[in-house]
Amino acid sequence: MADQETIVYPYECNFTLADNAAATFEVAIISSATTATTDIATPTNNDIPTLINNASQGLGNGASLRGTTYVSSTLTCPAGEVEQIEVHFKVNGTVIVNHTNPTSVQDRAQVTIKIKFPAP
Amino acid sequence: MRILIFLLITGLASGTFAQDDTQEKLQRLTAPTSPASAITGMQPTTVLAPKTLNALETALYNNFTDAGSIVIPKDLAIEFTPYWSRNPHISLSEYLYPTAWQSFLRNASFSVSSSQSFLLGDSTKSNALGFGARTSIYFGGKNDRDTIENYRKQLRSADILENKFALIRMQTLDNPAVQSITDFMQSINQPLKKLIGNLSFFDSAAEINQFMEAFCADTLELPKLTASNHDEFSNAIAGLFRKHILSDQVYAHFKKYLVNRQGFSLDLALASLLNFPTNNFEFSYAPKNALWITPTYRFFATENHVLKLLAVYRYEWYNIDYYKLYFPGSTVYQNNHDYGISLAAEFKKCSVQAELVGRSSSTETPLGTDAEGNKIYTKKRSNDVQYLMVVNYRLTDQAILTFNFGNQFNPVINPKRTLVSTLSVNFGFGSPKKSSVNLAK
Repeated sequence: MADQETIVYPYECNFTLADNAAATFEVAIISSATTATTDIATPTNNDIPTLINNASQGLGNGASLRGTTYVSSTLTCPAGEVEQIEVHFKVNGTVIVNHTNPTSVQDRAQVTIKIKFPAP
Repeated sequence: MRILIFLLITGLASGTFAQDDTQEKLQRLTAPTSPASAITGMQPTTVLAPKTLNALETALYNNFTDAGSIVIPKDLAIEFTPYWSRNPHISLSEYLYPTAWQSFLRNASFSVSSSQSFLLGDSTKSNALGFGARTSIYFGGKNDRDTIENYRKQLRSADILENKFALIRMQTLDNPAVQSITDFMQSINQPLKKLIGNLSFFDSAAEINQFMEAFCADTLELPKLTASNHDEFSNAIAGLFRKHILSDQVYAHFKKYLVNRQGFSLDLALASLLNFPTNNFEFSYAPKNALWITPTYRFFATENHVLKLLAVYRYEWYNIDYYKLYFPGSTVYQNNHDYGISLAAEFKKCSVQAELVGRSSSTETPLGTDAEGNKIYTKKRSNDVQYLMVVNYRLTDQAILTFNFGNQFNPVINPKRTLVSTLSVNFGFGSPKKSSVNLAK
């Protein structure tokens, strides 16, 4: 089989969260001329609105997030002058994923994140 | 880096310009992408484009010094764009719709080129340096904005569809009951159909069914799904999904459009040549300088068609003393003004460019002084015309057939050879693949 182009950049992470504590997910674009379109599915909600570029979204409290939360974000940078895509994904202000990839490898990357919210 | 081999198959007329006349390359109408290389008349064997100040410093140090001494590298060109040497933190909208001043700053680049084989009139090789600067200012209109927003809208819909598919994919792969591609496809069939229907990506149920059939059929070519290759499988099926919803194609067209945007642009370039005729760094001449002003209007730019009209003003000024010394017998004017127009069109595999340029040259020579002590000059003038037609035909992705025909300006060397008639084939060999590069080295 021919060399497979890298499209998907998968991440997994844990974020400790008490039952009654709220979780807010945030996308922060660092690189220039980059867009991020992000969709999220929590264990209890599959209909979270799409986040466009720099945006944040409440996910619910810890008790409702005990399964796996899935995130998929398509990052696009059509500017030939930009060497690297860089986007931070945060929960409650803490960077859980600092994604970087050279635009020469992929300038339309899909970042997937599996987040588990264990109780303290 | 792409390696190009230029193969001159035939020179159909005796007037074909000489290959070894490095300073006598055919002067095209458009502003050069590297003014420094253009002014030295060289085809650099190495082109460096450092992206950061540190990389620029390293490139200059590595190439222009040897054991603490300054050296002129052999056929090297360096291009540096200061604006992009650090992250300017601009959004895609700011990138796509700059003001005239922002456009000027972002596109400003500086270039240096060097040659150890700059030929003097007696064919002696000498060292030469070229220095250049260029920028481009773009003024888009409503059509450009509409085209770009249409692409962005299509891509955003595709992004959402791909994301939603990725969520289904991840949830399905986390299901321990899913052990094979067949299990996987059975599990995602209904959710995917529902998703595509909900997002109104296709116009009819028939189109959705057609998509599902074609997509499912192609999954047979994916790597086998095992417990240990979820990442590889995810990557492969994401690529297949993109292929079937045509988002890669839309994105490729979008990027191509950004290179050839509809509207008006103004290219400005300036270059200066420094020659060391005795190859001694303490003795140099600045024999030639050039300024290019090129307004361009692109009437339309679609996936396969581009039509643009260019006008040009090019001013070259020469050091006559230098040419008298090192190019004896040649006819060189102190000031050369070129002005002309060009029409360029691209249609699928074929591109055609026709240009007509006039040149007005003059030299003022001091004759002495009159009885009242005023300096007296004599002015020598010349006018010339260049008309050229270039036809390119893409034979394959790796080979382009090029035919040049016309009449060029009187060259400095061999001034009567003005007829241009060449047929050439340019071959491109692919860049190295990741698998063929030893990254450990």
